[in-house]
Amino acid sequence: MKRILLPLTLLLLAVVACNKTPKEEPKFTFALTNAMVQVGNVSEAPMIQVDNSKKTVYIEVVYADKAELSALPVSFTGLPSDVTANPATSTFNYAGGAAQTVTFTQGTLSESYSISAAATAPDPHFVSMKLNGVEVSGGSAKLKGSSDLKNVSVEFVVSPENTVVKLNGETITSATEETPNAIDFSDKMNGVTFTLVCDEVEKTQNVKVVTTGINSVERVWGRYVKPVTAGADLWWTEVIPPSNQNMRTMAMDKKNIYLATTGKKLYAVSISDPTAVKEMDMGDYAAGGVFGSCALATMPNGDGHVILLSNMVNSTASEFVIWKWDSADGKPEKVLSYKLPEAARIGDQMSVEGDWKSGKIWFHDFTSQQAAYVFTVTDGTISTTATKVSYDAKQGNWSAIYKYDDKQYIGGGPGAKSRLFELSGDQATSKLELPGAYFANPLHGIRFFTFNEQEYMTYVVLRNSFQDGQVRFTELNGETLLSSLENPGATLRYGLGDPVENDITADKNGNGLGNNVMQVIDGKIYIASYVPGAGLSLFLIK
Amino acid sequence: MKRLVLITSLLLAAVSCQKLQFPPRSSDCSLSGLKCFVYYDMAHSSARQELNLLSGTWNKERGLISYVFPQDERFTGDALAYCRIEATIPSSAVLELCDEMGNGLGHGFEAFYDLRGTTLYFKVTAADGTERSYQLTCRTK
Repeated sequence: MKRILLPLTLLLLAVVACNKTPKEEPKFTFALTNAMVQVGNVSEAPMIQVDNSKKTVYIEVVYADKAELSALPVSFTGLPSDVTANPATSTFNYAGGAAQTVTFTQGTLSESYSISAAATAPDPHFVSMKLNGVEVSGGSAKLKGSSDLKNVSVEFVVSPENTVVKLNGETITSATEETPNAIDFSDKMNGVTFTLVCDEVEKTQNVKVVTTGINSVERVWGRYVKPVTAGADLWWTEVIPPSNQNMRTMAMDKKNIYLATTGKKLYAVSISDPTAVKEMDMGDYAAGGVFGSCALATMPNGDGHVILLSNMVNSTASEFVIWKWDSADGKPEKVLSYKLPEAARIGDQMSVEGDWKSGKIWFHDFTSQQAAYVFTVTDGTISTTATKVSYDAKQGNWSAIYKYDDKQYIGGGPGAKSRLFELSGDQATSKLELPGAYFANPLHGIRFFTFNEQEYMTYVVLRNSFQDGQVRFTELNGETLLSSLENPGATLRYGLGDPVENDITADKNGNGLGNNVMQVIDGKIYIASYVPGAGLSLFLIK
Repeated sequence: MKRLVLITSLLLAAVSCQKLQFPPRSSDCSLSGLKCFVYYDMAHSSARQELNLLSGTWNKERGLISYVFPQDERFTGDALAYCRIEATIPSSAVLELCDEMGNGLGHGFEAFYDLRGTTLYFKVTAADGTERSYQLTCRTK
């Protein structure tokens, strides 16, 4: 038994002793990540694309760093402790598609990665652009409608810096004082398409002009007392006398323009057909005073307007009256009888605010030139007493006070320069005498409106020693009305004595009167402008 | 009767051998659009700005997209903490978000991303299994 067991045991032990555990094969477990690849000498972080299956690293630097490709420092950091890179840091010329091999060693095993680098294609574009000094944003710049769009100055900065800008095949450069340019942007619909060229890459960029404010003012029609342009329409002499003294004011609703004489006559001219003029029914109209009729205005009343006509009085206890028509076809109704409490003169001009339900009617006092009588209108009834509003500076004789907002009013009329007043209770404090460098004297019919994101003040100004007049549209560009008036923007001017010629010699309007009124009809702004003895025109703002 | 059974059996055998002809599956895994919606005022969900990420640097061949947000107060700081991403891919393809190594993390983009210096990896798999990897890096100036 021993002879068998012993050798057998020894044999088994020998076999067990010889049976070595199989040694595990070393594996290359390392995987490169983007974060391990560091690229130096570049202005912007490059894009890095690692493909561990293909053993490639692709580095894409921005176009601005293209020149750095010829000596691009690349290093590998943050590697696991058992991994080394060779070279760990190197500067290599990757230009022209050259690739560098980097070997990563983990233990006894190694893998080689091919490192390549390229620059992105250039993206030629405008970094900034200004048209007439106005920044282009979202592909367009807002210029004033009154700008000369055929000659727009274009300043720009491009990126990359070596980008060439072309227009219709011609290279253009950014406008400077020494080298101005003038590009036609008048095709507002299609704009201007610039071509930007950098290396082999071409891109186009369309830039449009969006105009703000008035693009044009159309004279819908005009009637002139003594026009100098052949063919200009003459005054309605057969119906309305072309009086230069005794038809002082004008009013307008959505259908007619109204003219009143100082002799108790009232005329309506159709807005849509200026040949349709008529003398209105005066009914039981009765009024005393210096002039039985003089100041004229309309006030909104529901869908329509009321037409208000007053007499003009100038002595204590005189009866000051206002008569009302509901339409050009109606008869008048007396809506105010007011005993003048002192020797004031009111009724030369009338200005209104609000409507026939809730409004105010202002009459400047010719005598003191420093006060106005203000009547309130409540539900179609005019107050029988007036608030006397005093100003701390004179505001001429045949003047009126025009509202800008609840606090700010402007006076206009002959005999004193127009002023901006701030109203507090029954006191108006002068804040500004309108600068003579911009505003001639006298101004009449001062109205405010906003068109196409631009605020305007429109008014009539007398010209040529009161023998002609102009309607003007002045841009208000300041933060406040005060600053806008101190430094007003561009002004559009249209003559009233002739459709073409300015400052003609018509019938002298000795008192320097006129008016300018506004109505929004079917969403469009119409302005009627009148200077006695010169003419009356209807304008449409476009 | 026996003949009828025999013929029917033959016909059935023939039909079963007939392989159905399916139209070839699309291999289109292209990315035709990549939009980002920046919710710059989370108090007002309508206050968002849509941006075309492919208008940045777009290496179509390698699937590399780099986008630098415009210098605008809506695209700075916390404003970029809530961004939604929308991709346009073929209707027969699927989009899968990945990690840097290409391992799938789930289908589609997540609800919101903080895109301040962020790199996203995703792949589009066509109906026939063709894959295309994309890498989007967003930065601020």
